[in-house]
Amino acid sequence: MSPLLMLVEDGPGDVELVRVALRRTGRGTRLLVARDGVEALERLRADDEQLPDLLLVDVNLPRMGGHELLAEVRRDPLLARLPLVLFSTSSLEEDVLEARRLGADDYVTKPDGGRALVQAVAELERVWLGPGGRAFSDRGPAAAGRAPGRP
Amino acid sequence: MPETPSLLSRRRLERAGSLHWLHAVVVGLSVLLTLGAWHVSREQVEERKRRQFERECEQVLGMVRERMQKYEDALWGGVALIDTLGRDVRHGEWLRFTETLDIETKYPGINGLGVIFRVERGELDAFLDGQRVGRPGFRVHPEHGEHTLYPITFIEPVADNQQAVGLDMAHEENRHAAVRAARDTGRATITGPIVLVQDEARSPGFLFFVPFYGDALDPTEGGALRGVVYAPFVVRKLMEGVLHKENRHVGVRITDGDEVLYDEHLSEEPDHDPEPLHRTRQRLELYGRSWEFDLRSTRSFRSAQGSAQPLTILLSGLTIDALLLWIFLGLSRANRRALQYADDANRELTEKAADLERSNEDLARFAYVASHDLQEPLRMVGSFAELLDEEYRARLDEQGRRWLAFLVDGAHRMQALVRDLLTYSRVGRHEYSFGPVDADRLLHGVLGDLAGAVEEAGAVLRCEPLPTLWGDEAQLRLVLQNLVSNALKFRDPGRRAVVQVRAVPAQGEGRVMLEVEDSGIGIEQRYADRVFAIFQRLHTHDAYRGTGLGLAIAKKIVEDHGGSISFRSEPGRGTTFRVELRTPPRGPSLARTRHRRPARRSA
Repeated sequence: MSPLLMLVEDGPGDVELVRVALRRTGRGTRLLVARDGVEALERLRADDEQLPDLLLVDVNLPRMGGHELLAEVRRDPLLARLPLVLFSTSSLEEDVLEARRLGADDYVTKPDGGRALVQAVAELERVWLGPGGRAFSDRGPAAAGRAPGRP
Repeated sequence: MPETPSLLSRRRLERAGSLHWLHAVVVGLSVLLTLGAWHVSREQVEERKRRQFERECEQVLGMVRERMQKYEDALWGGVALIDTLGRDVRHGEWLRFTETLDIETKYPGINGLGVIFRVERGELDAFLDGQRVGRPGFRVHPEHGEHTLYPITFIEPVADNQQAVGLDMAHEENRHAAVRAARDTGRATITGPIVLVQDEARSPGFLFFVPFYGDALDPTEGGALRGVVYAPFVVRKLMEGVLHKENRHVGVRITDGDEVLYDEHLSEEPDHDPEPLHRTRQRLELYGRSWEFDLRSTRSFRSAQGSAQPLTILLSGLTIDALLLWIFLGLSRANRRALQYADDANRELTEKAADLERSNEDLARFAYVASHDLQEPLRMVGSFAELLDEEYRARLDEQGRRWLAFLVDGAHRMQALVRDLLTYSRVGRHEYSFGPVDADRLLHGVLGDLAGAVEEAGAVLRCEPLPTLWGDEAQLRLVLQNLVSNALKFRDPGRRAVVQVRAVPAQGEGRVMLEVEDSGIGIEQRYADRVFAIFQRLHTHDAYRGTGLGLAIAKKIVEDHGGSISFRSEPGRGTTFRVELRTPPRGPSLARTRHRRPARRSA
């Protein structure tokens, strides 16, 4: 089955950009979109929904932000091992460090251009979803002790 | 409140300006000195007065003695006349003698000059007969029981002494004793106080006797007394002649035994001082009598001897003391006012600084928020412009593609601007964490980031060993990055780009100068003040890309580090930017933050 990516993002532009990026990479990754942390948690916990292989979460969200969602996910025993990558405009070192401290698996700065975004998404797919990547399917005990950052 | 240096120096100023014990001591000593000087001066004046009084007393006594001697001389003159005659002097001769002496003008105070003969009772009739030749009314009076009679025989001028003519000296012990004393000693004698029969005022007087002898000159040679030359005195008149009142500031009372001869210590005396400043008693032995002089200073003595000196000293001194105190108070007040002024000025400045800081902060916050929030929509514009360009390019005509290119370029430039603006606004808000920064490592990191740009420029890099700096690593890295990328950017297309980075010694302890030199187009001197200004670009976008913020950011960071940035340029030859920064402080802070400290290698 093709991998599933859940994007938690309130900006329709960014959703569209990610959609285009996924289309361009052509791996067939399916996209699930939640508008904020609350909606994301609801859908993650719904019985009839399939769990995504990767969570790409915007930091600034209405109702429940990315950091809070990250904490909720890590607290939930059923969700704790989901790979979660934070996704934000800021490229500041302190924000990157904060994300890692909170337990995000990675931090990706939203690139300025469409082309750069496609590259970033492709990289994410390669690392987390692709063959040889740390796909959700083989996430096991290794996920908990995974060192943040790119391998 | 913590003891800041300015607070300490303010305290010192307060102490220096307030009145304290030193001022009190100065004023106190000054007052003491004044009082001392006043006291000494007063003592001196008192001493001078005392001496003056003593001198005047000496003068009075000396004049009395001198005048008495003069009278004695006159009497001895009479004796000389009689001795020269070798017989009893006659009335006419005596008259001529006294007229020659000119008593009234030359012997003021003397009442007259007379002759008394010794007459034994048995010779009285013959004596009377002899005297009545020219003066039928002559008689001897009053009656008494003595055998020897001493009648006043002549007295000239007779007019004032009529009652005395014929008066027998033996009738009364005072006169008689003085005559006997003269007779026995051969010297001049005076009587005790008597009232002259011829003095209507009945004031005290005395008689002056000088003896003469018949066949010898004095009793030691066995001569028998023939008589005495005599002069009656009213002491008052005598003293008036002797002691001229002018220029005399002592009053006199003369007593002989219990009897007062002369007295100026009377309240009706115009110059009498009821409480004399000085007084003294002195005894004068005069012709067998002992006169006691009671001398007292008079009222005029006070004014004549009074001196303004002590009072002048006192008043001047106290005036100076008062001025001194006034100056001290004035200085203290001036100091308080100065401090007050400084406080007011300080408060105003603090308020202004706070206002400035607030408005600065508002501005910085605005820049941050604006640039941060601008990023999001800009990213959309840029991203979709790019996607449009990629996916719809073929469907657009030439003009549409050109326009789209402008859109993409504009979006990218604006993104760069907003990014730099965000960086710039964050520089001032950033919490710096200071520590030792290895500039060598920093430079290599920067060159790694700029590798693409270096390659594109085909630049030659020459890096000399750099020292360890003191500052915030991330911020200093930004400075180096901006300077090096600037050096690469403004290269001269006509020649090979050479970028040199080195450290040179700076003035001042703990400071170092980094230099970034390029061989680029250079900066004309007239643009010097615009180089570091925000959004200032000296070139068009077509020639050199950039936001105009890089050097402004570098300058802000360097200045926040307490350093300075400047440049030296020769248009067409190249530019050298110089950044003065601190090196790590020596001492404990180094021990705390352990770091590799590269040895300074000479370039």
